[in-house]
Amino acid sequence: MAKKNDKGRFDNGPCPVCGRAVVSLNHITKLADGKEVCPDCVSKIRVMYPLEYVKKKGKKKLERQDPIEKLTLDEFRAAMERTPEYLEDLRAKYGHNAVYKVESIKMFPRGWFRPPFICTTGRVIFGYFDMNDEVEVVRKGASFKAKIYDIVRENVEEKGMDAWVRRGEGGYPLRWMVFSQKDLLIGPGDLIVKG
Amino acid sequence: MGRTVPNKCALCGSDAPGRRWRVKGSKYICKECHDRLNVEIGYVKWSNMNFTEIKNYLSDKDRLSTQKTCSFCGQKLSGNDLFRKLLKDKSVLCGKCAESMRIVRPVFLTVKSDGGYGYETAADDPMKELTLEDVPWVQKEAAEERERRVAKYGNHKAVFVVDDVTKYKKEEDTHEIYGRVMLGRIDKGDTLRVKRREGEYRKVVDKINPPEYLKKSPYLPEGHEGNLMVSGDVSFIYPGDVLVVERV
Ligand SMILES: [Zn+2]
Ligand SMILES: [Zn+2]
Ligand SMILES: [Zn+2]
Repeated sequence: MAKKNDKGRFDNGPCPVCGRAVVSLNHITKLADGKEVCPDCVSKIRVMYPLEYVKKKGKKKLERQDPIEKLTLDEFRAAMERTPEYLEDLRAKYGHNAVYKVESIKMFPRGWFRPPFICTTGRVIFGYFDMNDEVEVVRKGASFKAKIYDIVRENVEEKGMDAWVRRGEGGYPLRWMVFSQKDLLIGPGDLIVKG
Repeated sequence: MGRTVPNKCALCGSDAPGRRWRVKGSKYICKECHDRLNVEIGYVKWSNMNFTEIKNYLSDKDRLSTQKTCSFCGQKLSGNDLFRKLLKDKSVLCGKCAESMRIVRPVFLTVKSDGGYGYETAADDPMKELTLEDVPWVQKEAAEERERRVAKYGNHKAVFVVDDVTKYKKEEDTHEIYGRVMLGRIDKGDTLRVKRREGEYRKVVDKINPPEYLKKSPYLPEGHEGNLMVSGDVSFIYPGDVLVVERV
């Protein structure tokens, strides 16, 4: 459990980038030079440095691999300057405001008359996805309307007290993006897009 | 065999008979003081404070309400000035003098224990560490910072940097844009402008949702963070975006 600091607060002092508290109850991003940055600053460059969870041999738990932790503070600051252009390049490349890429899917039947749960695993390349968002499934050149039934993040620890927000953000992997509607076809490699 | 409860109230010193309430720090207060704390501080808050903290809180409150003019500019102080500030040396600043320093002394939002097993947000104001003597140089520092920001973002009614966009309520078409006011202030009805490579998008602020410590403020002031509530599609707004409100 986190410890109080000498001011009786649960933080490790100000973020060197924005000056806001690096709250010790949340997951703390520690840079290569030992500096700790706040989640708000991390979220601003995440799209350029996607978070990975990798399966390690003989281990059940996925291992968290964060490329941001390999940056120094100066490199982090430089990344913040470059992110807006990087994001615009992605938006131009895909032609949407938000894109999620499906990596694998699992189907869970829900009884006789109800459509199955289509649980996709994948990553948000950029933009936001929320529960109940109206989206499009882009599959082999065609596109279909769909509605997001639920979202479960892989990085549930990332934002500490907000850990259970059912939302996907650019650069973060999702354990599940769930759909449930009749005749919806989704497969690995398909894109879910918004806007 | 048990402790004896003193007759005199630790806060007001009265020895009116009747029930006594225990305050953290092994002090006892009378019914009148107990009721007064409930009104002035609120039960949940004062029951988690120790006796010294309660005493300081009340004396600071008293200090704020008795001071008639701003210790720095000499202007008359208004009782409903939300931004009045008591400094470390007990001098009192009017909201205008205090908030002119805010961009270099932003409120530090962190987390504290709620007194039980949970946590709550703590809004620590670094301005409380200043004395009257510090005001001129901190104001100068703020003016220089403001100039740097105008050079970076341009001269607008307000500039807001986005941290996060969240759906306000599921199924409803409302979003909250969380971030920090870098320059100026944001009011309800303001039009936010964001530049994308393909063009410009606009969004009207339906409502301001300031942080708890500023909940009575009708606008989001410079140097503070908070939520702007907007309706309709916001998928073209991303963390790190600079939202600009033009002067009219
Ligand atoms: Zn930060
Ligand atoms: Zn009393
Ligand atoms: Zn003044």
